[in-house]
Amino acid sequence: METQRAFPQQFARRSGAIALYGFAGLVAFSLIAPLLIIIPMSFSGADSFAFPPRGLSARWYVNLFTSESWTRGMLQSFGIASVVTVLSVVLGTLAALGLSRLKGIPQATLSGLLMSPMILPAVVSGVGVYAVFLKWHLTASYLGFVLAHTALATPFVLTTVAAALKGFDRTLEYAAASCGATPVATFFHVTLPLIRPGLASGALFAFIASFDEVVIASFLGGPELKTLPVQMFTSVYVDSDPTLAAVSTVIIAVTSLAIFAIMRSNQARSVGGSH
Amino acid sequence: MHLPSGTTSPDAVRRAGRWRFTRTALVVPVLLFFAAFFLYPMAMMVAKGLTDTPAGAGSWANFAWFFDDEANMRIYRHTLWTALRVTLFCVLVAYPMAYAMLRAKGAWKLAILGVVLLPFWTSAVVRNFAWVVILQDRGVLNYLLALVGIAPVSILGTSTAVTIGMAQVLLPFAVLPIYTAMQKIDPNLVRAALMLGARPIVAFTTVFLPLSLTGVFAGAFLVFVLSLGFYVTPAMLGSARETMLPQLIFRQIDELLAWGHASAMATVLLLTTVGILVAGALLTRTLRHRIGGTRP
Repeated sequence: METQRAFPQQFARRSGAIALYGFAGLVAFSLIAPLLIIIPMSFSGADSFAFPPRGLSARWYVNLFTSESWTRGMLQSFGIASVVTVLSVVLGTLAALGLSRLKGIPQATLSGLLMSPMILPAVVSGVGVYAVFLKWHLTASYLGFVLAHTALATPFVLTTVAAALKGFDRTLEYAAASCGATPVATFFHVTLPLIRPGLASGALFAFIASFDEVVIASFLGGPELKTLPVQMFTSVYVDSDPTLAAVSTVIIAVTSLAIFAIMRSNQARSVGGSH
Repeated sequence: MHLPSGTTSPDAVRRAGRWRFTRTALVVPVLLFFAAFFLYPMAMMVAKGLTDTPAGAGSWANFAWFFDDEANMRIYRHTLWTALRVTLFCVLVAYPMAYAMLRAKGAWKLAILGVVLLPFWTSAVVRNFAWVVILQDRGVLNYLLALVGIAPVSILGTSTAVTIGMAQVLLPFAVLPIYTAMQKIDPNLVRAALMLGARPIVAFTTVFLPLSLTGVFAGAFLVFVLSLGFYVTPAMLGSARETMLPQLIFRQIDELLAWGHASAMATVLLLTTVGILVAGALLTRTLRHRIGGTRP
């Protein structure tokens, strides 16, 4: 550890370090600032996205929460993403537990297969899913959305839980088993509390994967079922409706709160665990 | 298996063994779910591309249509070219970011990591919308340019806008593998080079940089492959000239109901993706074998 800490000082002098951190700061700024720009736009009194916003008004928020299509889209997306999160947490955890005991080629093949939705273009599986779901009468239905999105979201849980299981002391499970605990009891009392941080971030990723999905949702949607991102996507295309800035601000606020809550609970757990 | 002998009863060992078997079986329901709602649909898609052909035409009619049409080929080339541009941009930005993360300590390291991972946590539509607000003609960028007296620029709808938007989303996929590779480099190798009198820049280019290349290649291939599937960003930030293959596929179904054409194109996109992934995996593995030099 000590050698690693000594290492970075070696290449560069002071000017190099300033340039490096300056560059990092610039990149960080360009990652964060665009999101913050949206917030003042959402309180604009003008009827467009033009900058700087003119006047101050909350009418885009009023529109967001009173217009039928926006509220319906929000509720539908939230509902679908919630069910998808629960399902993919269960499936992803099962897969991670199953894969953690395998080694070599079977492990690599299976995990590669199960991870593929994360890497393959959504439009590729989307075309197939749309074709098959048309036959199964699963288009324009909540069930169809949930099934298609769960296949996309499960890999996120699988990765985070698999990572949590890697740094996990297996003898704890053997100890529980030798004390007479059933596998199920062992899982809920020993394994689950230890992988909980990984599970929580996996659940958040899974929720966002569904809540943010546009391509498959555009295929599967119908006049009565149009999820929020599809609504937003068509809205920026068709008209410059500043309600979009209001939705975006709400999404940014809610996601930040969720991340904050997960970090807090993970921190509390790790502090509590050391006692 | 490292069971502490003496402390466990044979019964517990047997139970642990049985549990291990059951545990591997846990993957079965997930596999069935994947087979039904991911693999089977994709197989049907490939089959549709071969069978959903005009009467009298051969199985390859849809593929022939795709490869013979110059407009399609232009979009295919443009997709690959965009992916390449995004990859280069991402790697060039990610390398110093990963190095800054390696050098930073404690809370700073976490802060850089958090910022880099930000795109994972934020909605793609929201992020692209933010770029629309910034880059549009009456947007933030031109407002700021006007303040310092520079003539307005028109970026929204160009390939620059698409590259910026995509690179922002894909940056973490380049930073993380590069950082992981840098972390594995044995610092003593660099120290040895410096002690033997190499100038810092020489020590960097002959020792550190080659050893971090496995991460660079892993990240580059991942970014390239993910770029190929982008739909929302080119649609929101690009113009008709910036159309990429996923948009073309989507339009074939959504507007024309041309299932055969769409399926054939989706198959081409799938094969391109898988082919590049396999090539990337092989190259990264060869590099790793050839270079070595990681921490024991």
